[in-house]
Amino acid sequence: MHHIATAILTLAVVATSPANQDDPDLQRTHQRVFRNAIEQATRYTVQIETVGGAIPRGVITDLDIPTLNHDPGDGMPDMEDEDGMPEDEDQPSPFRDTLGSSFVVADGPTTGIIYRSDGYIITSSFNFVRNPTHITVRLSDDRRYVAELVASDKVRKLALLHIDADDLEPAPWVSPDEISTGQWAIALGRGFGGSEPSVTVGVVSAQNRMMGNAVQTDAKLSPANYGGPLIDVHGRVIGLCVPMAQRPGELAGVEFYDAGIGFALPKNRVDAICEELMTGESIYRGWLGIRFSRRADDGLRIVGVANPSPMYDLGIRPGDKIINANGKDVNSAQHLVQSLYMVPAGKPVHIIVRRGDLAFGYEPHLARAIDLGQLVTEPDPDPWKPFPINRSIKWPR
Amino acid sequence: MNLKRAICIALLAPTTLLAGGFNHAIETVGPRCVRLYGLKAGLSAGYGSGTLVSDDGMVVTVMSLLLDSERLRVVTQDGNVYGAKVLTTDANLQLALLKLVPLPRYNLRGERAPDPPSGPGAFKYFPPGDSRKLFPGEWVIAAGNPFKVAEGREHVSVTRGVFSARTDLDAKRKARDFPYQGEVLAIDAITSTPGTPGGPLVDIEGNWVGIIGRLVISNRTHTNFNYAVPVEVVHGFVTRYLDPDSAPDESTTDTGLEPYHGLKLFEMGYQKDLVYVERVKRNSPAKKARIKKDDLIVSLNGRKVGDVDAFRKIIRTKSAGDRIDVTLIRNNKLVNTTLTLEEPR
Repeated sequence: MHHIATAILTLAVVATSPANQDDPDLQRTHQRVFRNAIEQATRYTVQIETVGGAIPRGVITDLDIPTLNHDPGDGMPDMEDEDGMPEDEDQPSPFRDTLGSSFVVADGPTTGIIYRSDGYIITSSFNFVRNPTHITVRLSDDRRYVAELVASDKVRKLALLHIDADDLEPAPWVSPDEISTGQWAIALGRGFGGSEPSVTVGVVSAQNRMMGNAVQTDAKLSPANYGGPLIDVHGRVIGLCVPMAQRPGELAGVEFYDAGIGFALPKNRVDAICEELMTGESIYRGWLGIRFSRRADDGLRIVGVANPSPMYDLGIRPGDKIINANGKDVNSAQHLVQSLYMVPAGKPVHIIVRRGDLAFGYEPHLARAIDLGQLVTEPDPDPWKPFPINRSIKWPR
Repeated sequence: MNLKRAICIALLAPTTLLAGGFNHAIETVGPRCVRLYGLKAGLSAGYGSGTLVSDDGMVVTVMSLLLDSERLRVVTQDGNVYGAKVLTTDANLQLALLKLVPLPRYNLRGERAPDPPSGPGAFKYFPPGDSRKLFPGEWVIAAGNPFKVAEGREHVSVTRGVFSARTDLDAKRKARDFPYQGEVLAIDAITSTPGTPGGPLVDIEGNWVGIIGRLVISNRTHTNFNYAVPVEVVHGFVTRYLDPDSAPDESTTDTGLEPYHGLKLFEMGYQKDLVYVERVKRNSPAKKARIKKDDLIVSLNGRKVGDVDAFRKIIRTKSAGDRIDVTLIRNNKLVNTTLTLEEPR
């Protein structure tokens, strides 16, 4: 038995060692395959340039930080209230500080993908954080167009552009069920300028990340290729590269750049989002419109509810506690954010609220920050008023 | 049990083929990459990497405070320690050329130890390769001593990535514009780490294609930029030192003078005024190029101009007689024209 084992071992070593020494044939094959894929994908990868907009200097105040609930950090028990309301602009926020010092949006070119032959281009909303006044698109054949921003999804970081062309060659996509973890993934970008895309290579690291929205890759993603395609070895699009992190915010995820953690939206997500964006309506962050106690031992006790807001309209009042969101038990604002941060305004979520010894389920539709009213902090005068179960109100009505 | 393990190993073995393909390149890089140690001052790391470019011990590295060290030490892969003389530097390229020299070493009894080999033929080195053969997506290997991990006779650290793109360097270093704005090789290996700049970048065959450049922040992305200065540029730098008349420095510089174009731009005095045309002077180059009032200029020679400063910066690198391709937005359509500059007036 032992002899056989040794024999096989020796065989394996002998068989591999010549190749191990200096035969890079396999790597040459990879290079050839990559090259073909890149040449295919170059045709539908476009360069986007923006002019005007906010000055990319100093601290970026991310006004779209949703603070459905703010990240409470590590508990911070000394502070009275958890800020669950849209941020006051002057108020310092933990996100703002960290992002401001570490990341400033640049104004270089960015990347997009031809989505439909009739002039629709998709890209990442990250590329328009500065609200540029003019957008131009340059195709791979060097034709240039002035583009119109049709609408953008600030939650999943997708933006839809339209140019005045009807002879475009749209990108072929990999069907999401064909994607396998570990397959080669090549990210293309036009962020360094020039006439050809830049290339980074990695693998698909995981699927169904970010609440089922994204494919994860270790190909280096950065502002140089956000909005560009992540392709397979046949030159088909696995996903559209976007910055993402398990927290809300337009810039969330950029801190991962070049870190081997990158995300891309696969075809089914992109199609669903684009269908909505085609109407010209942007998709915004969703808010419940509630503020929580910051005391660590309080769980998610509500201390303020905006009136109007989805929660107020359902009868939720200060003093109530949220114990479950979208099927996950939650006992801190951070938990709640992590179970809801991918849900845009207008979409329903499941919330279980506890009042005294009773718990009830609700299905509020999240609101846009702009539709929320003043904060009410008084508890319900009649705390034992029974709630209807599984009530759902489309909001705003 | 043993048999099971052996079969496991046998099954796993083919995957080692995958790593094997880089061996040749890595074995080539090792003896041709040196480690530099010296003055640690302020934010300067006090260590770095260099690339051997001649058999008598000429080393190319990046400029840094390190080179001002009185006790600059260079260590080769076999652990030999040399001193180094700075032969020349290029402030524009931010490159330096060193020559390894024997370093007298004494033992405790005051006896001089034998010198490590030096002089012609003593060193393995890289002959200049051809970075133009690289295609985006092809493997590259960078070597150096990031974070001073390698000590003594240890191998320098190598990192694998792909060649991303050929682009011009538009970057800042410590809030100042980086002087070199020429062509560089963008790569997806992380080389923007302390100690790596100065090390060689090779392709999968072990051909030298560039030198890892100094740490910079790209103006286009505002992120650390991983790049190498192409071997052609490095070779030009070395050749200029060896034979000053042979290769002229072809860098484009800001002349400070603006050739005449006849455009009056709309300026409110903000730092980031868009390049709107307020007026076009009669019989001027702009008039001949049919540029009109209210046009918004968005690019010159294919390079984006987002504001008036950027416009002037590019114009000042040009001189009378130069033709510039101008792209502008007029009535929401892109228009291309060519501007022929004239003598400043």
